[in-house]
Amino acid sequence: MSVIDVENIHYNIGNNRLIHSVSFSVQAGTFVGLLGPNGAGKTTLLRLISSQLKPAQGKISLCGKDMASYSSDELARQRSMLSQTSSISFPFTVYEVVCMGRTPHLKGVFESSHDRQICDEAMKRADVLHLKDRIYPTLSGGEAHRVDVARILAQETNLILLDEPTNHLDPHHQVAVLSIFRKLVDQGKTVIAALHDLNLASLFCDRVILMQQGEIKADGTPQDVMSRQQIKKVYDIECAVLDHPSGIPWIAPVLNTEPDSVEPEPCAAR
Amino acid sequence: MNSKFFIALVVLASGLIVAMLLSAGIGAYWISPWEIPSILINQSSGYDVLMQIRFPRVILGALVGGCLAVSGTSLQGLFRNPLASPGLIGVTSGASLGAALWIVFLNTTFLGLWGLPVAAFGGSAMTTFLIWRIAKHDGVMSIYTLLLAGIAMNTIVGSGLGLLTYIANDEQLRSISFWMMGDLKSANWWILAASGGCSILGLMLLLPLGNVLNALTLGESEAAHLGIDLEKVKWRIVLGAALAVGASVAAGGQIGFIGLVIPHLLRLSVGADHRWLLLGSMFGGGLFLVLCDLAARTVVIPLEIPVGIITSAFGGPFFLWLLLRQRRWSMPAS
Repeated sequence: MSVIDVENIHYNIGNNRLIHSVSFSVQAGTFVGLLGPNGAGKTTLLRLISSQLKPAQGKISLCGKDMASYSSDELARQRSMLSQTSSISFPFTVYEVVCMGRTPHLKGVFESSHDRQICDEAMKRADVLHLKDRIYPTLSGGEAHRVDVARILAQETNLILLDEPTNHLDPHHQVAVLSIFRKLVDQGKTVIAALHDLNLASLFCDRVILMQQGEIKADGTPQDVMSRQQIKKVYDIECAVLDHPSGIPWIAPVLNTEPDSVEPEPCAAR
Repeated sequence: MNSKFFIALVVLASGLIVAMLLSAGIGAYWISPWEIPSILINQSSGYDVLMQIRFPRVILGALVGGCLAVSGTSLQGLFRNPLASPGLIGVTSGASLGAALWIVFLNTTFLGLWGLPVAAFGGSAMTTFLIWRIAKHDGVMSIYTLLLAGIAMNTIVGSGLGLLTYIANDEQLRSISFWMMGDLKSANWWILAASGGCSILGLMLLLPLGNVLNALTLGESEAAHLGIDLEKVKWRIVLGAALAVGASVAAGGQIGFIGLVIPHLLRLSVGADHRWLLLGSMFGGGLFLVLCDLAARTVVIPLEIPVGIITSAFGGPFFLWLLLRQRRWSMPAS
């Protein structure tokens, strides 16, 4: 069944069209990558799907039920969102921050042993268990980001929205973090992630949605969408599409190789 | 609950009770804390001192200190800023303006003892309401506008206050400046009942918000993703803090420092989880003010120093020491 149904939504700020007649639905157990240049509307679309923003026109349904009819509590048990940046100016420990992910599930004021077990498991998966007692504001950007990932995992939702989840991360953790979510998708959860790295998208996503100026330009498997012409049209870069060992498209940008008409300047003679 | 937090709460609460008993006994008329129960039962000598003077004052001190600290904690959480204090939503400056207006334009016979507290509470309610109205747009309260409107409103009220001090005569001037330093000497059961009613209402709104404030420290949108109903919560925090601080300031004048520093101090020394911090602030703020008030009325018997002077004189250096000790994590000043 489809987890998310987006029906012809529009969103404007003043006269700027940020999202223009976007429609798609996502089946459960799909890893969807939102691609597109800066300002294409990826983050805005994620915010609309998370119901942080309300569409000016159109309708978004979550599990067949209108988004607007959910209470904020119910919604928080259905979908989680990892934002690009987060900052905390109080000395919370890493463990306490991860525990905040349990907020919508709490029966009383405090976490039960079951909740704590889930938080431990989430920290283990996000590779931050060793940081458990560190003070969050003292972490490096990448560490803090992984703690946020653990918090999202602790929230245990069926729909997970990720806004550039590989920001701040080194290559090892980029792959590691996306692998965590890939595994969740294989277990039946649904992930929609705004991504900048085309190759990571091609490596992890079942389906990519290519956006430009608030509209969907292409939608399909990475093989269908990521062609040389399509990339050139949307990102305005020349590239070669190579074959990755696993059979997925692999994008290699190519620099403009036209010969320079200007002669290299010789060293100035004394 | 984390055992560290539990121990801290027990220590603070028992500290508060001990401090209240000590404070009820110590003064120009000495009563040993051990004798207090028997004096109360037998109504022997010292009964009137305890019942008429000491108890209302000590209880008011605990209540005012607790309210200021809990409001400070809540507003720091709401603004996501460790430097926020109850003053930011205009409660204290509004109360000062109300008090000064009453001192300068209405004489002391009007409404008797009640005039000053009522004027102060009215002033704080008015300014907070105005600031809240300004920050609210299309049913959404902007925390950013709330903060800036608070600063602007404090400036406007400050100039009004300046004007009032300028036209006040010497006696009025003295009353205004004493009020601004804060003291608890007007405490009696009636003031305590009125102020306590409002304070407890405010505390009831604020104390259950532990999980909400925790989520809010992640940011407004993160809190919303965790299922927090933002508009309802913001409104509740502002209302709760306005009631608690308004009642405190009305009864005790402007007692600075507690709302800013007690939460901060407990956060640095024990932990930032608001589920313990709110309760801890209530006990800690009460404890701190009861002790400061004890000092204020015993250091130069039979004279009394305004307690606001003591809170700043003790609290400031202690806070600095704590900051220097806790340099291991840097505090963003934003």
